[in-house]
Amino acid sequence: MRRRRSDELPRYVNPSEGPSFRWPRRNRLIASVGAVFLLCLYWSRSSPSNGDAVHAVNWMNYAYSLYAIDQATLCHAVMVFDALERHGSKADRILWYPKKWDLVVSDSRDRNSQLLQVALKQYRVKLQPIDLLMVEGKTEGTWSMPSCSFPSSRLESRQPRRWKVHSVQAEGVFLAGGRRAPCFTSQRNC
Amino acid sequence: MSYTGSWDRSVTKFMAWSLVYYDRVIALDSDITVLQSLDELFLLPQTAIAMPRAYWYDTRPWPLMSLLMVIKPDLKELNNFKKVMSGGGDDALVRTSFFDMEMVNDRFADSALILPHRPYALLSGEFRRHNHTEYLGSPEEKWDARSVYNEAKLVYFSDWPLPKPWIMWPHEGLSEMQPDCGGSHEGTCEERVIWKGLYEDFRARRKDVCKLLSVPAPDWHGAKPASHEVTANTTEGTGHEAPQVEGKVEVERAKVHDT
Repeated sequence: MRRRRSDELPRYVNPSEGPSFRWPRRNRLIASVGAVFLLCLYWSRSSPSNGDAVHAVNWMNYAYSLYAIDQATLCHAVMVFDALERHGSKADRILWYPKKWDLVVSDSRDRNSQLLQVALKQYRVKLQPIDLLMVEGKTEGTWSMPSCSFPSSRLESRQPRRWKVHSVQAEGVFLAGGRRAPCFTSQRNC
Repeated sequence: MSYTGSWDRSVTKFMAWSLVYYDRVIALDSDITVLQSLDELFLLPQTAIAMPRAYWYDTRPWPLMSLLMVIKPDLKELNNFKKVMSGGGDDALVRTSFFDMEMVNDRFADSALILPHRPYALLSGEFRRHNHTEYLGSPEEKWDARSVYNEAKLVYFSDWPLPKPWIMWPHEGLSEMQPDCGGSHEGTCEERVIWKGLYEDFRARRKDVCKLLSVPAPDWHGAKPASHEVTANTTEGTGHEAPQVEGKVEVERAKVHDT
């Protein structure tokens, strides 16, 4: 590269002879603030932060799943939901329970319906009534038929058989094609 | 009849696999006390299932413990479980109420992500043990009952043959089974205070949340009963009618969430 001749070098100009155009002070102030703002934005986006992963979580993608088969397990499941609520848990909550139970509180001693109502309204639990899967023992030569804690309408006969399974009917479980909310019993309008 | 509860309980757990709307589901038993939120488990690395081990078992490797399962819902897995169940279960195994644990171990023993039992599966019986190496994970670490309790996220109640916490203690059983405070059955110690506290807390919350009292204590046959089957139902079962506290369980208006 050719060295410049001295007469081509920039010369110090007497300030009084400088360019006649100067930015007004207000515009300079705005430009400075704008530049600082853009810098801050750049820094905040480029610096890694462990908090980002947690803040970005969509808790509707996750759920706790509990089940109740009698009054005691229903009570204990509601106690777990109560604990999760108190400890600030954000994920969804699911409760599987026998289809024959209803949510109508028939009297002050109807604990099952009362607890289902509390689960639904106070702990935001999505209620899932089901027929139970049942398993029988199949040891050769013996027949053991579990007696149900509640009757299933699909039980056709009590003739001795090696084994028999009731298929699961879970109402309202929605297969995820897209991300539509499942139609649980508690949400008739979904 | 008395084993229906354990069958129903075992297999109803598998319904968690049907929740394919969700990326991940935590399936829980309810004979537990949750001491802290478990939400961070939803953010584990990708895996079909994550479970703690039953660290109190005599045999190695310790089996996976189905009281806490972090699963990826999957209808194929559910159908596989149904196929296994349609083959029926070995009668003796089904009666033990560990049928679901057997099935889950068969399927996932080799591939599960192992959750640390400390702090995700603290056994209530840990406070009755003398050697805590297996819980702590190190023979060097000094046992401190209060620290262990403070860091625990989930406690699983098992002090068989003492009954589960919704059933009252037979008096003789309690004095025989409670933490022995280093061999001295008199006096007290942190272990005994915490262990009793776990049971008292469960009973208090049962009364507060459900307005239910404890089921009367079963007969006590001693620490080595003649037949496991005789006591298993009375100490493990949930089919017994519990006396109720007066009044209704009602929604607390202040805490209602619009659904």
